[in-house]
Amino acid sequence: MHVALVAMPVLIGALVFLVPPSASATPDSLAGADDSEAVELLSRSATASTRVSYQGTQYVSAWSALTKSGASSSAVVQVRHRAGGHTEIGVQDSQAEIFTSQAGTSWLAEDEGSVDLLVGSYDIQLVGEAQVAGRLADVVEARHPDGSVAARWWLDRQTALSLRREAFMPDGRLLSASAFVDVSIVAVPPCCMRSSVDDHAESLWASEEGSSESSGQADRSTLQWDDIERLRREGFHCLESLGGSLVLYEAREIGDAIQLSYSDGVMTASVFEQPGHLDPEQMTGYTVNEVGEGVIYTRPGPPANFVWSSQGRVVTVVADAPSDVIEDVLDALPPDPVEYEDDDDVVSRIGRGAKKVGSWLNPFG
Amino acid sequence: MKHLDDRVSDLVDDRLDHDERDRFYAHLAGCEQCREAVEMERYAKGALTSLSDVEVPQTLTDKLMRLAEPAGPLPTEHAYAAHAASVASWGPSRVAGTGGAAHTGTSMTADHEYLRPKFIDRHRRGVRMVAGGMVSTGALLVMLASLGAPVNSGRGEAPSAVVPPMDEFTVEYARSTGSISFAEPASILAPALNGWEDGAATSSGADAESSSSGLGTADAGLWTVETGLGTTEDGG
Repeated sequence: MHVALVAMPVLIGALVFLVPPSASATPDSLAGADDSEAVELLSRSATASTRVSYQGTQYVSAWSALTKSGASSSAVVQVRHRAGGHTEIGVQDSQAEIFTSQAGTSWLAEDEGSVDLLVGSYDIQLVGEAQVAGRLADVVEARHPDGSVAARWWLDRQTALSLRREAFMPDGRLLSASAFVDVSIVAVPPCCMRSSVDDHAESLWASEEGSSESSGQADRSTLQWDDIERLRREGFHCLESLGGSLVLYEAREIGDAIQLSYSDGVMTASVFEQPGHLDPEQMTGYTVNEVGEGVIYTRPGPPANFVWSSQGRVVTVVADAPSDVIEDVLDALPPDPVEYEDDDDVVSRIGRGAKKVGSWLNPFG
Repeated sequence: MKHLDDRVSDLVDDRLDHDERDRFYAHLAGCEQCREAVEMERYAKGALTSLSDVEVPQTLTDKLMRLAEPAGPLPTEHAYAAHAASVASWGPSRVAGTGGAAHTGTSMTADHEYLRPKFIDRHRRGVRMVAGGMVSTGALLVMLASLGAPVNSGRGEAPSAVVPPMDEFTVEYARSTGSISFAEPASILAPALNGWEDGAATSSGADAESSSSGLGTADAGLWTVETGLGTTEDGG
C-alpha cells in the first residue's frame, strides 16, 4: 500500500502529461525471434491465471481511439488474483463488485481462442527481453502486415504472466498501456492456494459459486448461432465481422437488447441493438456527426461510444478501436434521416420529395 | 375511321379543310349512319335559315352580350359584325362565301354563326389544357409533399423513444472482453476508470468528457473479475 501511495502521483503525472509514445518505441533490448516460440509464450500466458496467484500495484492508462488530442483516462489499481479464480481490482476504499465473465460455450468465432485470433490477424514475434517490476520478461509483439506494431506484451519469464502491455492504433498512436509497478507471484497449484482476499470478496465469491441460479441466468443470456439466425429473421443485423478483421466471438441478450462482441485479439468492440428510436434530446454530452442523411452521436471515451437510430432500432457501439470498425455496421444499419420537426412546411416537404425522386432517377446515386 | 359524331356540324357548316373534308366524304360513302346524320343536320339548317327574320330588341341583345362578357359590354352589333368579319378573314374558307361584309344585317342566326368560329374552340381547348395542367401540377406537388413527409422508416409499430443505458452497456462491454486474453486492460477496467473520474486517484487527459460514459459510481471501486475457464488473463 505504501508503495502504491508513493508511486501513484508520479505515475499519474507521467501518464497524463506525457505525449502518447508511438508504436516505434522499443523494449530494453531486441533480438531475433522464432514466431512459434512467441505463439507458445502467448498460449502459456493466456492460461497463466489458472496456474498462478499474484497481487500487486498496476497502472492502467487508455487513450481515446477517436481523438488525436491525447484524451485519456489513467488509474492505479491494486490487483489481487487467486489462481483459477477471481481477480480483485481495488480502487481506494470501495466495495467489491463481481464481474461474471461469459461461459466458454459462448465462444462463437471459428478461432478456438484469443491467441488464435491474434495469430490470424497479426504477425507474432518474440523481440527481446526486459525487466518489469524487478522480474525478467520476454517481449512479444503483434505486428500488422506492414510491420507496424499493434501490441506489445512483457511476459514473465518464469510464469508467462503478462506484466506489462501496450496496444497501438493503426496510425501508431498509443491506445492503452498497463504495467505492474510491483508484483508478487506465487506459482502453486490452485488446490494449495490460500487466497489473501478479504472476507467480503470471499463471501461474494462463495455466494456466486454456490448459486446455480445466477450461473443459469448467465447461460440464458448467452446466444448461440441458432439464436443468432433466429434474431436475424426477426430483423436484427448480426454481422459476423467488423472492419474485415474483428470477428464475432460472443453474443448475449441483455433485456430487449442484444450484444454482439467482436475482436481481432487486440482491439475489441461490442455492438448493441435494441428496438426503438433514439431520443435526441436525451443525448447530452455527445458530439453529433452527420453521416449520410442522418446523424450519429459519439463520445470519444475511452472506450469510444457511437449511438444512432436505424430502421426502428437503436444501435450502440462501444469500442476500443478506431471508428473504421463501425463502417460495416453503418452500411447494414444506416442512420435514419433526420426528422424535420422544425422544418416541416409544405415547401420543405415538396423539396425533400423532389430530392427523393431525383435520387431514384439518378443512376449513379 | 370513327363516325363523325360532333364533327357533323363542321362538315355541314363547311368548317373543314380540304383533306379533312375528303376523308369525311370518303367515310360517308360507306357509313349510312353518318350519312343520315349529315342529312338531318343539313335539313335542320335549311329549315332554320328559311324562317323569316325575327326582330330582336336591342336591349335584349345588349343584356345577352353583358351576360356573355363579364368584363364589360361587348361592342355594338355593328362593331361586333365588323370584328367578326376581320376574324373570319383568316378563318375557314366558308366565311368568304357565306358571310363577310355582306353579313351586316340584323339576323341573330347569322351572327351566331360568327360566334362559333374555330378560335373559340381553340380558346376552350386552351382553357381545358391550362386547367388540366394545373390539376396535374397540383397532384404532382401533393405527391412530392407526401414523399417528403417526415420519415418514420422502420417504425411501423411506432417504437418508443429509448436512451441506451450506456453505463450498463459499458459494463457489459468490459465483461465481454474477459474472454479475450490479450484485450485492452482498459476495457476490463473501464468502469473503474470512469468511476475514478470523480475520485482523487485519477486524472483525465485533455478531454474531460472522455470518461463520462462509465458506471459513474465513484464509490464502487473494487471490482472482481472472474476468469472464465481459465482463458481470461486479468492480471496484467
